[in-house]
Amino acid sequence: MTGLADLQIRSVTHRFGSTTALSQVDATIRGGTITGLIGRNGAGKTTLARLIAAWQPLQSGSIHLDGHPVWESQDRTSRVCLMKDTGGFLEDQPVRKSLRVHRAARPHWDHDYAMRLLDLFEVPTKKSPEKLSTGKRSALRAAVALATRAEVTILDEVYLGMDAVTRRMFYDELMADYIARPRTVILSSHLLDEVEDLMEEVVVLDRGRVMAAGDTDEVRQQYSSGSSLASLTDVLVQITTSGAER
Amino acid sequence: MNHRGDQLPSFDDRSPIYLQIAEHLRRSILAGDLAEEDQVMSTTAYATTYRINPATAAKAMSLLVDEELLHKRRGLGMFVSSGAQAKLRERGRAEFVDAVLRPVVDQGHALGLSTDELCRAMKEIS
Amino acid sequence: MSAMSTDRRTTAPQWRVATTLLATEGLRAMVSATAVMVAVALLFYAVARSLGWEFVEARSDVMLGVVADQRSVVVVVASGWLPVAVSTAAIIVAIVLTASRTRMFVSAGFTRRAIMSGTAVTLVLLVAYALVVGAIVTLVLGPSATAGYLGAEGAQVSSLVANGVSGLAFGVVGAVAVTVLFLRFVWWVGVLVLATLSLLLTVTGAAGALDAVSSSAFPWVLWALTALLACAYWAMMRRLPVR
Repeated sequence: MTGLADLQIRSVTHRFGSTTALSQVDATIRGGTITGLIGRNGAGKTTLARLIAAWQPLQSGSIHLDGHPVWESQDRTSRVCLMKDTGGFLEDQPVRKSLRVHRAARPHWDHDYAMRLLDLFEVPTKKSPEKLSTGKRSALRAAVALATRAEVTILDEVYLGMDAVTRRMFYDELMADYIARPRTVILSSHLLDEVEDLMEEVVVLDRGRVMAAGDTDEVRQQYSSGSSLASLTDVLVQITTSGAER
Repeated sequence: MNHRGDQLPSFDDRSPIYLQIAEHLRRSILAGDLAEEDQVMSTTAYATTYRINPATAAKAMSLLVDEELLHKRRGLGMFVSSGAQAKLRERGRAEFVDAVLRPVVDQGHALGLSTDELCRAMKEIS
Repeated sequence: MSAMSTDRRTTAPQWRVATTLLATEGLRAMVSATAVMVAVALLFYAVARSLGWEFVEARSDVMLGVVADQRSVVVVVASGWLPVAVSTAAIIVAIVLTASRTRMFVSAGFTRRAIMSGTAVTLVLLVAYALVVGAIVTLVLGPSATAGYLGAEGAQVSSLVANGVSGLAFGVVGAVAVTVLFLRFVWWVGVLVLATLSLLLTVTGAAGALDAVSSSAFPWVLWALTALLACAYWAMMRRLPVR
């Protein structure tokens, strides 16, 4: 619809030693949508995010953007941005230095936008990330993730350190930018109540497997009983507890 | 640009938001708050006002387009179609008789009231 | 929608961007280090001279030493100390750049190939910088100043350069490879590898064997080892995971 490429994840299995982090994961992240990636701790969300962004080589399966693997393809790695709650910055150097790297690396980087966001979130660019408070560190990561204007932007719990007010400011900025300049956003968050209305589609992981995927309203309806619509938390509880009973 | 009918509703979590938006729009059209050829609030406006995905509002619009209540004008937005209120009234009436009136009549009969007595009672309360 | 067009052939190739970022950072660090070293040396010289200390040029393997008795203090300095210090700085800069920026660059969207290319060019520039400093010192002070501890026979410029460059190249590439070893694997793997290597070298007498190698072959042995280390670097980098 927006002309943005889909992200095709096919049969991805990933093991760390004896632990299976992902098992035969199949998913299509439609281009230009905000897709939620939800699951309990250890469900494999971060592993999947890192594989999509080519931070880790695939062991089996494939992840294609625009028909080609992301891995080691400069055309694609530059278009996929993963921002987690740690990493992504030169910790002991002023923020400005890290910004220089992002500016050079990201083809759609908007420096004015970055500066405006950092100003909005009150993140000093002369300080180094390690000297910032937890809240400011999260805000820094969120701001930079938005400013990359990367075609596929994956936000993996970047708002963990933010207080409620900052989070709302962030959601508003995210939605405003998404509306003005559509991109594919993959949102991974534990704060489901806050983000469930922002997600058009959702992928639910449990113990490395895709348990549900598709339109958020439809998934919620699927797990609804009675008169009320199930929240994503309800969905997750049902999915994970029924799994435990198996 | 006419945006009447925008006394903003709040959405609860009992049903999908897009259905609630659609329902609110239908009610506004029925009540006459949104007249024919009035522009409906844009999906962007819905998204920023309610902090929801614009696709959610788009789904609601799309539903109403299918019901021939709204139509899209390229580059401008969504507008109330002509005859929308009439359509809703007609549908509403049919539904009202089936879903609301029939149970009332049945209950009245169950309480021993005849149809005439029911009509008299209705006249008294109107 | 136009801002999200997937057609961006106008962007510069990543290896060039990575090179610019790494090289500017690396050379900036080298210039700072050089400036600091020279400034400290000048300060030391000024203070020492004001205390009446004497300075003597070192002849053999000594880089810096102090001989003191009741009457006088004599500072023995190898007049080629600066190229050696700059070379050491180059190795440290190479380590710090690799350690701090490799994973960060991957997370910023650079391919590992681009980072490897950028690193390679930067290392060449670091070695070239040290070479230039060495050239300047040699021009100013004469070849004998730098000859001694480079193990060169006589004062032939060519053998100085060969030994110096091969030695430094081996140093920076080895340092970077070891750094990536620690990035790639759990820390104790790196420690294990280093411990094993040093054990092997001393036990088999390989370190001693290096001394016995004729001075004309010495640079080639180092280049061969450098190439080996570069291969190891490439092998570890190509599938480097980032957490």
